[in-house]
Amino acid sequence: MTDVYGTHTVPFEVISDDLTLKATLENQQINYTRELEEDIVEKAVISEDTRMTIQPVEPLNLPKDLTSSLLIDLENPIVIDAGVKKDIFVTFPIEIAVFLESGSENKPLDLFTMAKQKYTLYGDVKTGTICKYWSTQHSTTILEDLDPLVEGIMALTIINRTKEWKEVKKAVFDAYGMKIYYDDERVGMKGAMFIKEEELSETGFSNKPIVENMTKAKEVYKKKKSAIKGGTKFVMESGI
Amino acid sequence: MLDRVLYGNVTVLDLLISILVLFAAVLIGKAISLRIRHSLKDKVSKDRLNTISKFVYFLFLIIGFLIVLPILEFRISGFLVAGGILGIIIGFASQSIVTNFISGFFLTFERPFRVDDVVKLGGEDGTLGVVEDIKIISTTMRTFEGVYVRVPNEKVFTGNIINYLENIARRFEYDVGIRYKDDADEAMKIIKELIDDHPMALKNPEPQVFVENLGSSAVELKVRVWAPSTEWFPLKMELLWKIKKELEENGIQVPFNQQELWFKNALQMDEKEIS
Repeated sequence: MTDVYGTHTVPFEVISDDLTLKATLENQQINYTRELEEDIVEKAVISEDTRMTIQPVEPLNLPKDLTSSLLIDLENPIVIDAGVKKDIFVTFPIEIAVFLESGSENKPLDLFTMAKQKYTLYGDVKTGTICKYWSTQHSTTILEDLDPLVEGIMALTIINRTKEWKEVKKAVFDAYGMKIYYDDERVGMKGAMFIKEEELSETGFSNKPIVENMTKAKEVYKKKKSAIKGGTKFVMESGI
Repeated sequence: MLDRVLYGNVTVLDLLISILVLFAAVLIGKAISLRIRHSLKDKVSKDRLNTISKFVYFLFLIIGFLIVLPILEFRISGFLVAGGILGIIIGFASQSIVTNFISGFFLTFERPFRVDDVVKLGGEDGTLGVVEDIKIISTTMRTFEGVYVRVPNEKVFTGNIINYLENIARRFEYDVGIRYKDDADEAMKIIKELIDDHPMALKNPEPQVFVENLGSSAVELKVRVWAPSTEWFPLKMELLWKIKKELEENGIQVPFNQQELWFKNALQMDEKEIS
């Protein structure tokens, strides 16, 4: 349960463990401060609109805008029978953005994360893809007791369209298709993985929340997409 | 005034029309190439966009010239005859320009590097820097000291090209020596944890930390780390000092070189003096 997410009107202060977000109004200037452990960010905002929205965004902006691909590494591989469709739940890292309500939709005022950050290479050094890395356990029921400021829940549908058993160890997703929903208790998104051939799978997202009455998060990557060629699916050609 | 004949049947009006046509060709060419740059800037790589916009610009210039030449009564067939003789003279005079031009043409197709790539042109002792532009005759670079360097395309094409950003990931390695009395397993564990904690040190390909050699003064550890090519150097600079500090905080030290000296004859020294 967190009261961090949502739209806040200046002045406000939200505190959660090591995180403090504060905005005050002084002479028509908004003074925004974020304290996360020893890291302190201060910004002055001149705007007539005094509403700020704090929400989770695609976990691919920090520490650097290096890639739009997220690799979910399953701690325990899943072996799935031919032609079978199975829903599982995994976790994904969260980045939190602070948006000015009147500001640009894809340019947050502040962006931070409490999740571990790591990159990895999917494929080989010549043709592969640098991905944000996240290691997770999986469950057949919705994961509980996660910190919604650190981890989200991805409902992942795995569909084995081949005629063989397949072992799934990882899944790579493209940020441009991510549809993140949130409420006070959890952050979630719905993904799917289609195993098509021996070395070819496809991943994508569905624009639905994992449970009802969740709020749809603004998409940082959505606006950029119009300028980028290619779709929102990720084609995994270097194994699953 | 406008009907005044300059030569043959070419009047002042013809000359003015020709200038206007050429001017319009330049303007339209620039406008369209700018428009192309603007609309494709996020869809096409920078160097390819440069080539496309230059091609469009020169295409309009050529069209302009082709329109103007008949107006000014220049016959292309005449050019061809004269060009045959002139071509031989110019050919000899501009041999290097032609070689550079052809090299530039092949470089555009082969694409061993792109604009913004970090490359070393001319082999190991060549020029290291960031490619700024690949032109028809030459390639321009900016060295890391901020110096502008222009390299003729012939030299680029015929010399060795080392492109540090061609592959998306790159490895670096350190040699770390520890004292014989230190626990090498503990040292390797500390180094592995440091690498694991750093976001830019790639999870896969897996980093390697192992005892490479039992040296004369130290147990020598080899540390190998992969990083995204664009982040390779900052990570390499940052990680080694962190390793040194973290090892020292855990009581593991990098030893000085040590030598034991044996004297043939015992030193004539009063032990009381030295104690």
